[in-house]
Amino acid sequence: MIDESVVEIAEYTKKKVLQKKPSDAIITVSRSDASETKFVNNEIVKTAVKSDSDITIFAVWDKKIAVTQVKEFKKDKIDKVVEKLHKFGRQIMPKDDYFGIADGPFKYKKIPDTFDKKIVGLSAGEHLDYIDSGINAALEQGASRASGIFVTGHSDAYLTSSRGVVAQNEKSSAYFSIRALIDAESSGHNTAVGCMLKDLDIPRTGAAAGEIARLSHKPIPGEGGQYDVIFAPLAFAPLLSVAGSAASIFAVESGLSFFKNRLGKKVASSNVNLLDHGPLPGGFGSLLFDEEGVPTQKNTLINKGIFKTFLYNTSFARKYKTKSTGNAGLIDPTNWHIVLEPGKLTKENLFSQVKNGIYVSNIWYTRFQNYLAGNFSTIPRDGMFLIKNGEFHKPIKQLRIADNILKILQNISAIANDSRQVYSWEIGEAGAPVTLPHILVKKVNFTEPTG
Amino acid sequence: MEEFAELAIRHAKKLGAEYAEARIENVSENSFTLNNGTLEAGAFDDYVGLGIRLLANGVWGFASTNSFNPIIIKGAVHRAFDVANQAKRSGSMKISEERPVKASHRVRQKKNILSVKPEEKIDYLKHIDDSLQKSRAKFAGRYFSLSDWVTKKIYINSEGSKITSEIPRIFLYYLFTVKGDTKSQQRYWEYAVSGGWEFVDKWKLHNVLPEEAKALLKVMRSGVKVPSKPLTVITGPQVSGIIAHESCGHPFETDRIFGREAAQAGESWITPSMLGTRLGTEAVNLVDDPTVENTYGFYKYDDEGVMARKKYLVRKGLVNEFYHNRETAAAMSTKSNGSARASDYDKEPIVRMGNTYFEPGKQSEKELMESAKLGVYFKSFTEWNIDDRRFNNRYVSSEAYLIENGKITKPLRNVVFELTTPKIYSSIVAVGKNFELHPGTCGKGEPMQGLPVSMGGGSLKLVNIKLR
Repeated sequence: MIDESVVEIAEYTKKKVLQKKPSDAIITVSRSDASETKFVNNEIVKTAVKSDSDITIFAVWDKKIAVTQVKEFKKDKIDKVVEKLHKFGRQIMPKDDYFGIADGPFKYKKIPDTFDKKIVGLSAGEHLDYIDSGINAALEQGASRASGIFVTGHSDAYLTSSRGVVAQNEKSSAYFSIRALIDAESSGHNTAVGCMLKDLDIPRTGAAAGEIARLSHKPIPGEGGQYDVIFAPLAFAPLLSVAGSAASIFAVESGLSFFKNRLGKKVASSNVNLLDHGPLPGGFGSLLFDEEGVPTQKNTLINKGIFKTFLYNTSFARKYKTKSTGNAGLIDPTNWHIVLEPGKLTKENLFSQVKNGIYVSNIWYTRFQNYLAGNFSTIPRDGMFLIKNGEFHKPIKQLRIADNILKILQNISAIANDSRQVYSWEIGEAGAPVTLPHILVKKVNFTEPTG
Repeated sequence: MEEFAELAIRHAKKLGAEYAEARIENVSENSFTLNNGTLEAGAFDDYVGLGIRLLANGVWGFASTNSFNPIIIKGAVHRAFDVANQAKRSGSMKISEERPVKASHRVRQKKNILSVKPEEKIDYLKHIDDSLQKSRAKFAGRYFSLSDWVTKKIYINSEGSKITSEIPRIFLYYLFTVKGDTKSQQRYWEYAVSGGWEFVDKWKLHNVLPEEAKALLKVMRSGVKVPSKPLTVITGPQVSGIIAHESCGHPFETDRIFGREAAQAGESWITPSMLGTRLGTEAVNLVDDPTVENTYGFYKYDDEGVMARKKYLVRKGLVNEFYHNRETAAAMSTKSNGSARASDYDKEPIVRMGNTYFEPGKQSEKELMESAKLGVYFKSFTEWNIDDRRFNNRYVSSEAYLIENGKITKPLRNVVFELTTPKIYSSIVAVGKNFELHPGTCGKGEPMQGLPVSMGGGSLKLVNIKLR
């Protein structure tokens, strides 16, 4: 639970900021602890313990928005920072289309399975034992070496605003990533992620990475062209995370969204239902409240292929005459946890639909040529396989997906029922985790080097 | 502050650590975002934190905190030592022997970035945004972000090194979208420096941005498809830079070569046995030099206290030297070449680039073009990527032009340069003398460490290249 010292420092900071008579102010005190262990070629190479704390101050004077952070919880330091913030706020330019922050108070409903005492109390020995179980499982599948990271953490936050909002939350998290290799060209990668230790099956995660490594042994160069593709959850999650970011109204205004001018229009196949689910039980990206203290909610971004809403904070919502979606971002609305609703087919059903296609187990280095148009490329990494008559035929390598994200969303022809939540290095710290199953996409464009 | 770093090291040694180092970093930062002419917000931060790394049981133990309380610091060191010591799957990691260094340095500023008022920085953004609009293009978005910060570091290690430094940096990112009736073209790029506010005027962005917008308009309206037959390619320095960074810099990082980044940024197609073997033609000289003053990737001592120096990664086409920290240097029985960097106090130093570039040759860019009967001037790029072993490259043009009989004739639209690394380096017949360095934020590690680097060189001339 949040202790009294945090509440006291937050309320002290708010009092000092309000003495400067801003039109709006939000104070958030956050603390976090994390344990990270990195393993390489079956050996532990680095262990890290980290603790961090900060006070974020958001204040507005005459539509001039100023933000700062303080990491020292000392009153004299806070006094100085507030003075500087006030001076800084007077010196900057107003945002004419700023329309305020949320009026509180709000009621919050606890999100199930987002805090695990076991994670907070995990001993160093237990932490290392989890890693051991993942490495062993990968090696048992035939991998010769495994590398990755295991991170466990705990954070809490207390938010108080000038508009009557008071909110607090506590959360735990665990993330295990393992890449199993037979040699430099034969590898499999998998991750397990959640807020509760019980949601991470680390031996199974290691085994799955090891299995892909074994199956991908001795790949042959692939040939460019259009293929029907089954994407593993790890492979498709980064693309849906990008889609979640493109749903922010800020992304639309800055030319970074392929959903621009597509509200109410068909942007995906009719079987696609895509959500941003802030209060998802057990969700790695779940949050009780956004950065204004507004309770997060389940937002349907795409319903039966139709784009339904952008993501707003209060100011943007008022500008566009709608309601906050609980996605503040004080400056730019953000997404919390993307969910692609599962279909009814098994993964095996999906494979049976592919006569000649490709299975992509992971992707890497996704870059856009034009965010507005949605043209991009990304590189399949780890095991990639030709599929013949519904079965793995041969491992292949050296292909790139070069296509358009809207076309890919439109060409999703089948969605399996084996959903799991995914977070990965490719999604990165700025992207939201994604819950999704295996999916089948028709006519995906692949390229190969011309020399 | 220094006493806290010394306390952490003393405590690590007392616990039995074989080696320990501590970094205290104090960062003062300002940032501004201008979106379609409106300032979204202004922000500033001023923080200090401590990171300590120790070697125990053949494993790195790392701890970080922003609490400067002796009890908390000792507790963090204790936990770092404890976890490292309990690792059953520990290796036999060693670090290279290096001479202890006592030094102090700072990058001088004529116009101190922390003294420049917020109004002046915002006015600058407004000014270049206004200039962009004078191009008469229609825009679907104009986005600018400007950050400036000063990092003051104290580095101390258990072998007697003590280094203090002060480096100011300025970073500007922009993205604009030129739109037509049905099409659009985007341009995103960065300008950055290690130095004072006086450098901002040297970028001349009030000229550069409208020129880029006009060029994008031309590409969008009258750009044609590149011929499909093999031809000569002349790259602009921006493109030379990304090639140097992605397909030579990264695969020459020895931690990747040894698999330490396997689950993150990937491994490398280069192996230790390739030292001295041929990668490219004799025209290829690839350098990394973090000591070039005022570059974005500048540093004088790395985050293991080793002096940075100029390195020839490739000399006359032969693989010459890899990037090393003390760990990889020991593994290859050599010395560190000062390539260990951490992005912040709470991150471990890992093997990183500084300023990576093709050493310039003798011909001008124009001379490189003159001998091309049919070619492409690949001036700048947008989408790019490379596989995680750094073998399969792709760069898509932002601006590209057809060269016919040695002269630029027409704009080309979205030209795709998709080649393997050996093919690129074996096709380079000359490097131009038109040297430029461009900034980038290089991503590596987990948790992610985005680090300031530069990349560039002279224009490259490649022959017998098939583009799409």
